[in-house]
Amino acid sequence: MEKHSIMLLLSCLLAGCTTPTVNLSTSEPIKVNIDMRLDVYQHSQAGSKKPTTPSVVALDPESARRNRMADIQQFKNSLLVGEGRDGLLVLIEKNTPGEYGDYVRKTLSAENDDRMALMKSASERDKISLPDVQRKQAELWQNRSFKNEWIEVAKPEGSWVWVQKE
Amino acid sequence: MESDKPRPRRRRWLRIFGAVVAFGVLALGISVWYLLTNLTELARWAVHRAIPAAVVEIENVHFDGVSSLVVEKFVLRDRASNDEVLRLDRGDVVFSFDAIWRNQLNEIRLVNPIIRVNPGIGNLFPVSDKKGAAGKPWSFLRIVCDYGEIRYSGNTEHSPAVSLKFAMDWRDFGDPVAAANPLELTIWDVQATVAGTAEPFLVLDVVRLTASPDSISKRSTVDSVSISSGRLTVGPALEKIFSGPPDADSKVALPALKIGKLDIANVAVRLDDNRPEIADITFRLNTTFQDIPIANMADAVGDLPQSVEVNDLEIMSPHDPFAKVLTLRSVIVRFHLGGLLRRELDAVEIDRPTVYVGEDLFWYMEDMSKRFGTSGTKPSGGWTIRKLNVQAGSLVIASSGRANYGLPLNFRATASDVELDNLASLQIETVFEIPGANYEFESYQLALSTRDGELRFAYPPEKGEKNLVGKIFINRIVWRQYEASKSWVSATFDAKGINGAFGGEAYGGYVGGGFSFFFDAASPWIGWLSGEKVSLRKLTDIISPQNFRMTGPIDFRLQMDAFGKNFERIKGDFKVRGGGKMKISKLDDLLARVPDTWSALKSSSTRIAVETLRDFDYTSARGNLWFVREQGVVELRLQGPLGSRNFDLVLHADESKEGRWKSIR
Repeated sequence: MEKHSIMLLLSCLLAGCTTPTVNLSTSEPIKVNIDMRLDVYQHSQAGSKKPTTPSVVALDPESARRNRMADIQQFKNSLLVGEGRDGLLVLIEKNTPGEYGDYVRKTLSAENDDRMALMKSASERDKISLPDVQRKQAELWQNRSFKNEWIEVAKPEGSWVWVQKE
Repeated sequence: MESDKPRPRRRRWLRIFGAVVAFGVLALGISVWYLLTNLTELARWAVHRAIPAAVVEIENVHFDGVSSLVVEKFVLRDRASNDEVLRLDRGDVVFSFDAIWRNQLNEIRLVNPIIRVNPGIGNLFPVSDKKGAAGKPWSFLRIVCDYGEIRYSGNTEHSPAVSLKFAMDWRDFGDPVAAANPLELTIWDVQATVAGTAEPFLVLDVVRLTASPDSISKRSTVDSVSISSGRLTVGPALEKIFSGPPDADSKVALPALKIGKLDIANVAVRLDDNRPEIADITFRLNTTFQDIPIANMADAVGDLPQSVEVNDLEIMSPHDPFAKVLTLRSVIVRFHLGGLLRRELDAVEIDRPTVYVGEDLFWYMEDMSKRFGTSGTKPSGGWTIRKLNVQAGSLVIASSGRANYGLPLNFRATASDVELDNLASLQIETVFEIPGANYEFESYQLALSTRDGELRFAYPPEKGEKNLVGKIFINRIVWRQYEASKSWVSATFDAKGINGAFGGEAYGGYVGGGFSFFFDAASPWIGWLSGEKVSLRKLTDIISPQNFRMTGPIDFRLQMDAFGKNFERIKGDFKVRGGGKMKISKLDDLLARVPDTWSALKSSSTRIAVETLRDFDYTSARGNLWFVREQGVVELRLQGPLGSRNFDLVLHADESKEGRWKSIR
C-alpha cells in the first residue's frame, strides 16, 4: 500500500510537473550601443610610395603644406586658428594647453613658414611687392574659408577685426 | 584831139577817192595799230562792258602769230566783295578770218583756269533779255583745258565747300550738226569739306561726265556720270550738313537736270565715330542708278540699302593687348546711308560671337562706361539697331585672360529697336536666349538636357552693374550615377569672378547650391551644396547599391574649396528627418561565410552580433564630415529605440601615422 502510494505520488508529480519556464524576455528592449571606428587606408601604388618621414622640412613648401592640411583643417574646425589679413594663419585660441597646444603652435609656425616662402616666390616671379602678394593671398584664403571659420576682416573705419565667416 | 585828155572833173574825183582811200587805210592802219598796242585795255573795257558788276585784271593780251590771241593772267573779281571769281593763267584763242565770218572759232585753250564759285555769283553775270539778238550762235571747233580748278565755298556753315580739278577736250562745240556728239568732262580730286572739319568728308578720285549738247538742251539729261573710286565719310560732317536749315539758295541753284546713268564704283564709305575707341567701319559702294534727278541724287544714294560684312573681328582688353574680350566671327550690318546720318542701322546680324568672360571683359565694360557715361541713362548720340539678330554665341571663361574654358552653351537674340551706345561695350538691354539643347560630355560623365535660358549683360540695368548674368533651365541632368530634374543654374560674371547658384528636384527632395569662381591663374573656386527632404534610400542605393542603405528624408549641407578640378577641402553635415532604417547588406556576405564547422553557440552569437550591426532602426540620425584632399573623417551618429550606432570613418591618404588629427578620436 505504501508502495502504491509512493508510485501514485510520483505519477502525480511526474504528470503535474513540466519543464521549468525560464523567462528570457525583458520589460525593456535590449539596447545595444555600438561605437565603431573604421580606418580606411589608401595604399600607395608600387613604385610611387609616398615619403612617410616626419622630416617635413625636407619637403618643398607646397608638399609640406599638403601633408599638414588635415591638421590645419582640424584646427579650423576647432576654431583654434584663423586666416589673417597678411595671408598667414593666426592662433586665435592662444591658451590651448599641454602637448596638443604645443603641437598646434609648432604646426602653425611651420605652415606660416611655408606660406611665406611660397608668397616670396610668387612676389619674385610675378614682380609684385610682397605686401601686395600677401594682401591678395589673404583675400583668397578668406574667400575660400568655410562658414564659421575665423577670418580677419577690415572694418569700415580701417581697423581690423576677427569674425567667423558667415 | 580834145577827147584824148581826161576830163578835169573826173580826175578830181579820182584824186578825192584816192585821198579818201588813203585816209581810210591810214585810219584803219592807225586803228589796227592802236588796237594791237592796246589790246589789254580793250579787253578790260570789253569785259567791263559785258560784266559791269565785276572788276577785271588782265596782265597782257597779245597776238601770237596772225591767228592766235593770247590772254595772260586774267582775273575777275566781284566788284562788291572783291572776291576772286575767275583766275586764268593763260587763254589762247585760235581763229581764222573765214571761220570768224561763220561765227566760229578754231580753238579756245584755257591754261590753269581757277573758277571760284561763290554764293551769289549768279548775280555777277547779267541775264540777257534780248533773246535771239545775238543772231547766229558761235561755235568752237575745239575747246581744250588740260588742267583747271573749280572751287565752291558754301554759303552757310552747314553747306559743304567743294573743290575739284577738271580737264576737257571738246570738239565742234556749238555746231548744230555735231550737237548729238557726246562731250566728255573729266573731273578728279573732288573734295568736299564742311566748316570746322579738317578732313574732307567726300573725296572722289575720278568722275567722268558724258553729255551731248542735244541731250542737255532737249532732254535736260547728262547722259552718264561715272564715279571711280573715292571715299565718303559718314560722320559729323555729314550730320552737320543735314542738321542745318534747308538751303534755299542751293535748291534754286540745282539744275533740273537728270543723269541718264550714274555709275558709282569702288567708293569707300567709312562709318566714322568721333570717339577714338570706336573702330571705324569701312565698306565699298558699288552701284548704278538710271535716270536719277541731280536734285534727288543725295536722297537716292541715301536710300540705297547697303550691307557690310566684317569677319573675325576681335576686341581686345584695354589693359592687356593680348587678352580678348569679344570676338565676332561674322557681323553683317545692313543700313542705308540716310539712316546712318540718324545713327540708325537697319539690321545687325552677328554670327558666332564669343564673349571672353574674365576681368578684362568687365574692365572693358567699366572703361566704356566711364568714357561714355552710359550707366542708367540713354547715351546722347547713341546708335539704334532696328533689328538685332545674334546667332550661335558662345561664352568662354577667360581666367586672367589666359586660361580659357568654353562653356557648353550657345546663346542667341532677336530684338527690335535696340538702342546702344556702341556694340563693343555690350551695354545691350537685350535678353539673349539660350536655346534648349542636349549636351553630353563623356570625359566629365555629364549629360544634360536644357530647356531654355537667358543671358543678360549689365543686369539689372538700373544698377549700372558691369556683369553678365546667365540662367539656364535644365530638364534633366545626369552626372555619373546621380540625376536631377527640373533644375536651373544661374551665374553672374563680374570682374572678381563668377558667382553661381543652382537648384533642382532630386531624389524626392530639393537640392540647391552655389559656387564662386575667382579669376586667378590657379582657378580657385568654392562651392556649397544643400539638400532638403532628399530620399536617403534612393541616395544610398546609388552610392552603395546592395551594400548599404539608410532611409528617411535627409537634409544636408556641404562646403567645398577647390582648385580647378581638384577638391581641396570638403566639409558638411547632415541630419535625417523623422528617423528611418539602416541596413548594411554587405554584412550578409559575412553571415553567408560563417563556417559550418563553428559551434552552434559561436555561430549564433556571431550571427546575432552581425545582425545587430547590420540592421538598425533609428529615430534620429545625424553626422558630419570633412575631407582634405584624399583624407578626412565621416561621423555618423544614429539613435534609436534599441540603442545607438556611432560610426567614425577615417580616410587615410596613406599608411603614414603622421598627423594628430588621426588620433583625436
